[in-house]
Amino acid sequence: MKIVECQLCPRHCRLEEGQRGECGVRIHLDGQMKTLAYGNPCAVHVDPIEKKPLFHVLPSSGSFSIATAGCNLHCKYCQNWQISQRRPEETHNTDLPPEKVVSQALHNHCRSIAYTYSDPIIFYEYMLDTAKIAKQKRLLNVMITAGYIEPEPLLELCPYMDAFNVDLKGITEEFYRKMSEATLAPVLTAISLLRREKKWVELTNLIVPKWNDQDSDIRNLCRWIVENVGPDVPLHFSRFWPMHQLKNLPPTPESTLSRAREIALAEGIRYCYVGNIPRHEGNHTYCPRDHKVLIKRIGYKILENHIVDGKCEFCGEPIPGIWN
Amino acid sequence: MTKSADHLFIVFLIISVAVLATVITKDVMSVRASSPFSERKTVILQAPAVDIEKIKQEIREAGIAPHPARYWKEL
Repeated sequence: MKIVECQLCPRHCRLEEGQRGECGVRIHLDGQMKTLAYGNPCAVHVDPIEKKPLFHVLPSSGSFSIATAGCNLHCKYCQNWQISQRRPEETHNTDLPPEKVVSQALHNHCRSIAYTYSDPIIFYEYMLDTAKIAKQKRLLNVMITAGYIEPEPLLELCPYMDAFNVDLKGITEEFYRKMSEATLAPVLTAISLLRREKKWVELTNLIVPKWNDQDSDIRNLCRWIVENVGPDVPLHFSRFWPMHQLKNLPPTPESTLSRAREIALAEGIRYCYVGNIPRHEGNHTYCPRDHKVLIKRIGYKILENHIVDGKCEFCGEPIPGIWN
Repeated sequence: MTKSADHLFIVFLIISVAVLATVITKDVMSVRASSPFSERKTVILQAPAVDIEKIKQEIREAGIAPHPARYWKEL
């Protein structure tokens, strides 16, 4: 019997005829690998780009956001499990080929297309084809991902992608194994590769009580970032909300997120944010030189923006990001 | 007891044992024959056959068109 091996993500699923990969969308049919996630998103929205979160990319602009069913990870705390842990047959899908995604994004006055919600790695072909067309139309492409992908397909994607938010879930192999049935090393490799390719990267770490909320977890994560991809990579600490298989845990206390931010700043991270808690001081962007508020936010809403031509309006300090 | 009576008893004993052995053997054979594990067979365990046409039909009925995927190899 013929067996095919998927080489898109580090799982390398080996499939007999009719079988699907861990992602639920890649299937062995007629001796070939096919995808069931192409042109049929189950989630289509216009979001503020701050929701991704990307705080250093075209602030307050709209991002045309799409996702299909399926995911190559099975995180116990998944906040989008209704689509990520489903097969495309089990969701209500929209017929939206790549050309239509781009025309809809332009029609809705969006400046970017976000491949998001579930992990876009599993609709790789759809994302790549859409990103190529979007680039021709001068739209930005942004990818919100867990980074669980092989280097070769990620490299092919790079020329068409402008920004990434990578969910760095934890900093130990044990955490990845127990929380997501995955491994940490490929994620670290992907983040380093994106920085080497000079792509704009922001990182998100969802802090879950009892799982990754120890000071040592947070400190080790920040040290890895500073030492391997640099202190200018923004870090978003996000609040866990009881979901999916971890409904028994409480939401992350605000004090934990504030403490995490203090640790990150002490470790040298220059732009550290707190997410899912509106009106927190960690919602804003501060100048690392004069410490003035540069972008004042309440949640996803921008109240003030003092970044002019990529620099602090007050002291001229360059602020990294994609501002124009 | 006379000597001839002794011989007769021994012959009777031998016949009894023979009859008993025959009955037991027949009994064992009949029990084995009725058992589901009566015959020694070579059984090859196989995964249930995949009905590929049914899978394709389910995908079609869901309105999904399989698209060629990238990054895979045949083993």
